[in-house]
Amino acid sequence: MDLAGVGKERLQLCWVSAAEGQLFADYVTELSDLIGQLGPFQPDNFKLELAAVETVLKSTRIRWLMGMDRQITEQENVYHEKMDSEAYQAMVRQAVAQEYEKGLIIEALADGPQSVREIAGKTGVPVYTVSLRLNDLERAGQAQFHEFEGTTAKFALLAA
Amino acid sequence: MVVGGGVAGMQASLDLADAGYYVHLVDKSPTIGGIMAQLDKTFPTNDCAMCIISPKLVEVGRHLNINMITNTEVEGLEGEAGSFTAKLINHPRYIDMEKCTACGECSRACPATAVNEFNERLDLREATYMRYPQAMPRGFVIDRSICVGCGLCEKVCLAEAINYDDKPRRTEVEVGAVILAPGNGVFDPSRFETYDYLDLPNVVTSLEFERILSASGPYQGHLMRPYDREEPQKIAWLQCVGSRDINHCDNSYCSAVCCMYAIKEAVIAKEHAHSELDTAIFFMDMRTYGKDFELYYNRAQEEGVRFIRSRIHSIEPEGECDLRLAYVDEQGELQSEIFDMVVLSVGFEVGEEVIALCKRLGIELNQHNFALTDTSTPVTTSRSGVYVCGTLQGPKDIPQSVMEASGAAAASSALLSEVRWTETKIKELPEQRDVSEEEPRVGVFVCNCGINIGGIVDVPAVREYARTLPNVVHVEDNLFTCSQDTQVQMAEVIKEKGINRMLVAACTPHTHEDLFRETLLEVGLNKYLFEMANIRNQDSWVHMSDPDKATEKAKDLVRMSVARAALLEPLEERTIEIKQRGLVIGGGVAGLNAALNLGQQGFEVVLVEKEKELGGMARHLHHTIDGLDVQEYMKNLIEEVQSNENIQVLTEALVVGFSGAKGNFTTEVLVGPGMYERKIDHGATIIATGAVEYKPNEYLYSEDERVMTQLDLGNFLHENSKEAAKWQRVVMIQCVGPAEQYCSRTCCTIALKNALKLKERNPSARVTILYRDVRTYGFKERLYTEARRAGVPAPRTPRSISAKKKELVR
Repeated sequence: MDLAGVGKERLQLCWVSAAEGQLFADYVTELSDLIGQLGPFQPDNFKLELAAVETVLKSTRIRWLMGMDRQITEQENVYHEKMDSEAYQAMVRQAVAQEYEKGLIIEALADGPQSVREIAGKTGVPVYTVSLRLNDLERAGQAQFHEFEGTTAKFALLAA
Repeated sequence: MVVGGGVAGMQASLDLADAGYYVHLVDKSPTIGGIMAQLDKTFPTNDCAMCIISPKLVEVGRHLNINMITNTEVEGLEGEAGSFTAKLINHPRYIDMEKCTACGECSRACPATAVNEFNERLDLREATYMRYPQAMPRGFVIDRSICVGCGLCEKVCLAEAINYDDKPRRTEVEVGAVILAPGNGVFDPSRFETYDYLDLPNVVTSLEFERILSASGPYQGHLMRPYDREEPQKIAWLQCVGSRDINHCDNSYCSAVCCMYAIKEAVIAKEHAHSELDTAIFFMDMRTYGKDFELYYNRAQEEGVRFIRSRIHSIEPEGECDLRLAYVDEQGELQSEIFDMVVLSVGFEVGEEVIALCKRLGIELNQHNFALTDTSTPVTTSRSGVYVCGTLQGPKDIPQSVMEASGAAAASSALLSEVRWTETKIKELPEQRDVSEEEPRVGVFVCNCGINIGGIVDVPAVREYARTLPNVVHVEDNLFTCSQDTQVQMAEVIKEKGINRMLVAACTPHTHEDLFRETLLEVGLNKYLFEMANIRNQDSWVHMSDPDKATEKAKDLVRMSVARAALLEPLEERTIEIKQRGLVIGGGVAGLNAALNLGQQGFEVVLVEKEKELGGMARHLHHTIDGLDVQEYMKNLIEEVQSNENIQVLTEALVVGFSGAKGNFTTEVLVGPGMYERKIDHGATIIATGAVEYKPNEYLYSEDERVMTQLDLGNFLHENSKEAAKWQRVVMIQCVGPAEQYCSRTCCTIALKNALKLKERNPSARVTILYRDVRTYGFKERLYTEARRAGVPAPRTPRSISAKKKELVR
């Protein structure tokens, strides 16, 4: 949500039991104030970003990494070793950022074959980063080189 | 034991394994192949590098007498020549190669990524990976340094090949000889602050550029630059990065291959580009010294590659991602050009790990950390019984590496010849059944390849379709047709049902054809009664989006293959008797060494020399640049040859007739003043007739005794040293005669050698060398440095003026 520019505060997760009525009321009040401060949210302004977020959430890679977090950092991984929680978090964050950027690129390419610069312009991702993430998509068989227009290479999505 | 499975290591292993020795081929990497696997094309033929080594990879992988030990390092070597014990440490792969079918599911699932060293960090790879698609042994490996241990690969591996409990293993092998072929890395240009390599994505090393050009590389062979994937229109190559440099590094030597590979990259890049590509190579000397190299250089110039004689100091970023180079041209004018991409021609450098390896093995290194060897024994290290070949011996190209590898193998064979064929493995096979009277009975085995095929193609449908085809007596499908248990089960079915033609519908023959042929041999069928239909690489992998069509295509492919299988005939591989004698024509340094080695290997040799004296050109030489006393060396060499009872030397002998075929030649020779005829039957011929020094017509050579060739000068310095010391002015003219068409390779070195000798005898003498390029490649570069220090001025003479200088005024 932060990467998407939506802001992580717009997603709240609270645990309240049926017997904790006051707690619930407090949370709701807090949330109302927060929303008041943040202002209205226009999903139409975030079409591209939200589509990318969805891609991240569907990504097997991210889901598996998040799912294994506690096992690996609190108990042991398959090598009977425990991984440092901060290091694991940093790795997951990097993976999320990569998958998000890939998500943006996939969404941008839904409009048809484009060049790296065109994708960068559309998504706001730096040119070189698009170049690298696009390469990841090519490797995974999700995108491919389409054709040259002069010296500009255009890339297209591959049917899944 | 051969250490290092690059092209040199593979060649040495194959030579020895074919010659009757058992070879342990050890490689640190999870796969053999070395640097050559990363190259796109090779100079000077522009052959595809992978196409050249692929057959070698396969041959090494399946050779009965080669034991490939990958992911392994040599920890120590005890003993002596003829009887070594090598201590090996096998690093865990975490994947059982007996079970891995190389289907790739583990890699596709792996969530951890790291920079891909094979693609020179241009892209990423997973923790579970195969270094490159043609890897040998073919299988995956887990890189523990980035693996988080999440366990996903184990979950998706249908062959159950993942083994997280894999541990390092220490083993020992007993060997009689060791050949070191570990190769080298290339210089890391991030040390050059002025090239800003780390911050400018469009500044790449030559190896990165090879990966960019490669069809198997990150851009599938499309010429693109890393920053924005645009096709560059102007590319610059900067030569001598990390070589001929004692300022940024200690690599004063010349890396010997970079001039040629830069030309190659420029020419190939032009081929890939589909708009006009401007290529500029910034160099100091163009070292195209080898066979056909000058032709390559000329052709590149004709194709428009620009050659600019200037060493670039810095690369300035220009605009968003372009690069500006400033230089002074040969007229002294300051120039500035903007390029889309800059390629740094990085030189060979011996890595820390190889230095440590040599230390552990007790091998001495020279001042540049390459193996210390002698001029007269260039593949022998300081430790007896340990040989060296390839780039650890010195910077060199592929043909030289391969030649040296064969040399090292020959030297090892001479050492071990007594035990030839004592440890080689032979496969016991049953008698082959005669199927000529039988109707074709085809067995069709359709593979699911995990989900690689089965996930797209309807394998059961293909199987049932096959049942309807003519001559088919058995059909089945398997999860992995290549697994060991399936071989056993297929063998039983073949025997049970009297199958006499085997069809496997699966992957490419390239992966497992040999395995299936072995299965046939083991049930007593001729191995050529085997057919394969590629329903993976040519079907499921390329038609993933259309399973229905993919299934139809699979059926078509199977129908074609069944029809062909029914027509297959058994083929016999014939054995031919080979005459166990070698003929060497030419008794110079090369011929003598060849004959001596053959003799030491236990073969009969006849050495034929047309002169009365043995020695060839070496008779006219005195000292090499490394101080070898040539006459002394020749005297000993000739004595060794003549006293070897396997070698017969015929001098004053002329070859007058030749016939026969490989393994069975007959050569007629007329020997001695009496011209008596000899007929020699031999199995192989080595032609070592050499070449002579060109005797010029130009430059008043025959008219004035003060005009001499380098050979003449060498003799004069040896016999009339005092006279030579009186000379005040000496001018040397390079590239005379045939050397105007091709580079004669040795003349720059010889000129500098003699120039230094002149300066030694008379420091005040003025010695001038008129040249086009100074081609002191490899370690010979030090001569150039020494000469400059000694005050030998060397003005460059452009080619066009050379042509007019045929006449010297007295």
